[in-house]
Amino acid sequence: MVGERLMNVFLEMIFDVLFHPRQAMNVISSSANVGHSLIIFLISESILLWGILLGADNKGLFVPIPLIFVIQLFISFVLWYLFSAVFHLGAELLGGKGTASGLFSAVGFAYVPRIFLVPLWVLAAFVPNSSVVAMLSVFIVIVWTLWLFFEAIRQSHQLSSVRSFCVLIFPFVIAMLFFTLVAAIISMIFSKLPFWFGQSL
Amino acid sequence: MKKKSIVIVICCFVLIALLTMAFGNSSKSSKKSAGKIGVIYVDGLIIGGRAQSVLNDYNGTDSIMKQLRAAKDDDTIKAVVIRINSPGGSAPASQEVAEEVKKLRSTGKPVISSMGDVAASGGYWLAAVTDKIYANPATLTGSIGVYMPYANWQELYKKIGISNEKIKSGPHKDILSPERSMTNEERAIIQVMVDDMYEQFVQVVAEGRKMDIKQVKQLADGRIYTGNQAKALGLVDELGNFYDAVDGAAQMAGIVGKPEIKEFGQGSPFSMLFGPSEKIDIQQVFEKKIINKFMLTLPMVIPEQW
Repeated sequence: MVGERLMNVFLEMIFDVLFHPRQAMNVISSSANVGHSLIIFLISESILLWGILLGADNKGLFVPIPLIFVIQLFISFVLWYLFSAVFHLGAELLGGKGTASGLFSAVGFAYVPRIFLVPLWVLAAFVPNSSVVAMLSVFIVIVWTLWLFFEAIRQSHQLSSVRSFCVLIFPFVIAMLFFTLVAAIISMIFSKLPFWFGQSL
Repeated sequence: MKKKSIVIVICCFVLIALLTMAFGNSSKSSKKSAGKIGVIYVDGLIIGGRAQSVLNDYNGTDSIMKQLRAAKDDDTIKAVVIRINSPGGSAPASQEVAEEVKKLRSTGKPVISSMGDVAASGGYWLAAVTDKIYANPATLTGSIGVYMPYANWQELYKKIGISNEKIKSGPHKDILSPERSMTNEERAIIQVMVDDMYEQFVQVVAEGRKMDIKQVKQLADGRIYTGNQAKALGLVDELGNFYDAVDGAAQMAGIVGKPEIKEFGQGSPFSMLFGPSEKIDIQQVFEKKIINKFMLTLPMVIPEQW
């Protein structure tokens, strides 16, 4: 009975996240149930990873499935944590009133649309211009996920749409600045190098 | 209730999709293939040993022999095209690779050579043992002959005040040493060796091209020929480019339609940096000749001026 109730709760939460994200993210961030988010995150990521790895293995590409699965799951988890941390920092700077755990839980549910990639890719294989359809499906899922991130930030920290959007792009701006700086430093170093490599032994 | 039903339906779709990805349209499952044409590249100098990479200064034909073995063992490969773009190299290295070509042919798989810009001397040694030779009309080929290079630096050493002395176990231990002139006896010894290797080369060409040895010797005075000339003389079978050779190989293997090509010897970026490579730096090889005395004694099947 408890299990059935839990399953019902999960199924309803998934539906709400997909089709009524505003209300769903409000409830999820208020309850801040990280355990539920972790389960949903694991299921969503696992479905996507299994799809990719099984597809590659099917095509005859050598793929150490268990190893890649574990590594990729770990990386995805770290990214979930990092995104949530950066979103929370950005939200706090812009006057947000939510909790880190509430936002973390809500962001975990934002990964749900990824499960649609697997059936979309299978569908793409049966239509003409399959690569275009596959890329389009990836694009749609990315936009959907970003929209859910946006709602998670807005509902958990009670921010306006504009501020929520700023918080959403905050990590990408940071990343761009970071990589620009790294590229500048590397090119500065390499501009000195020809004098070293010019001598042949 | 409606929400649950919709989500359950979505989950079913996802599960079916997963199963389809796992088991559907497998390229690993046995699907009748018309067979593939293997392509092996012989570029640059033909030198024995392991090949050269950025961090490794060995260069050699071991990798070519590995590729020939791989083509022999691969059941999907029905014929092999050896794409030769080489001015030649060492006689023993050319011989080693030629033996592997013969072993590959003995499995019943046709081996066709396609000459690029140049397939001379050692390059022609390899081509001669294949079933059919394709060359472009302007390809440079031929140069059937052997030489052993020797340099005498005695006068230079005198000029710069270096005197060399060797304590030898036998009179000919330092034969071909650049520090002194060659004696007549030594010259005769080397000449016999060169003649022996020349006879081997001529034998290979005669067997491979199904020509009389006398006829081969008339052509094998070391000169180079264009593809056109070589065809007229019977040293080459067809005039055509690489894809003509591929089509010819497909025809010989009985492959109908456009043949699928599998290139051997494609490395990963990691192996390009740290592993053997077929690209050989010719200048570095010849510079090594001066530094490394071993290289000075290699019998060469390559035109002197290249």
